[in-house]
Amino acid sequence: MFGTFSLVAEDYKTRPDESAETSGMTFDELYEAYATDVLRVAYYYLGDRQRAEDVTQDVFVKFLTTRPTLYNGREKSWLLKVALNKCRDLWRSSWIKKVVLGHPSFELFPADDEIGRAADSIALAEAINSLPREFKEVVLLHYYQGYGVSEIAEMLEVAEGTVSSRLSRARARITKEMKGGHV
Amino acid sequence: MSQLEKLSDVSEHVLSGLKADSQLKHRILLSAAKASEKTGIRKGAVIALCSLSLVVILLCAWITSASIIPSQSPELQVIPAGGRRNSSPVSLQQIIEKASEVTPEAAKNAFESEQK
Repeated sequence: MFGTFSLVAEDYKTRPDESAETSGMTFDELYEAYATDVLRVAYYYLGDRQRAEDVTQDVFVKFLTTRPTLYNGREKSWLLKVALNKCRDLWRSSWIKKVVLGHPSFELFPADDEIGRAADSIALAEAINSLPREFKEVVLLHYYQGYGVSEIAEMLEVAEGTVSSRLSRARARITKEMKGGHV
Repeated sequence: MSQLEKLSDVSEHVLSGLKADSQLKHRILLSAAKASEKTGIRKGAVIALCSLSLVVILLCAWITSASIIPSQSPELQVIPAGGRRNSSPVSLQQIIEKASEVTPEAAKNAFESEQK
């Protein structure tokens, strides 16, 4: 139904360079390639599966209804940027303060054959989940999604020095959280 | 390699059961369709409102007989001193024609008799 939408309207202003070509990815291709990443980042951020799915839904609905101009290789960063903005909006809402901050929990979803191995990773996942929002964003984008400092600065619209500083402080907090564990 | 450097692998382990499935995709498509429908309804409502406003404006103009576009050139109304209007309106063309019929001699005679 929406698989053949062309990408017209400008939304993601930063263009990688003048020669960058407009992305030709359809909704189906974007969903298959990046929806799980968007869902997991939102889940890390919010700690609630239903809300993470809602955020993922909002991100892709925005893509379908606003038809942004995306450039090759920048599709995922646009999706993640929109997802993080949605997460921030939710984070500021009273719901998240009452439900998540009031009763912090981070349920994990290992595959059946991964349960044994997951035990080693739970501490790290929970340490990241307990980080303040600003630190969590940069850790997820840098260590989970593999973006560089300059790319993260562009996505979050902050200075590169701020990103580096947040990463450094986030590492220190995680180390402290894991009580001397090798982070 | 530190544990943080392996976050991508760690996440694959602890969140491997969390995937964007076809059900979520279906939800997205439904939601987008509803959003498009709402946008269409809003556009239709705006067009209908504009059309209605235009009809009301034209109706008001018609009722007050205010001609929006002048259909003919107005006639020159000659109003002499004292404020009494001539019984019939005289057009500017008629005045020019009458004036052109008067010769200079006739005008001079008329002026002299007026002086006497």
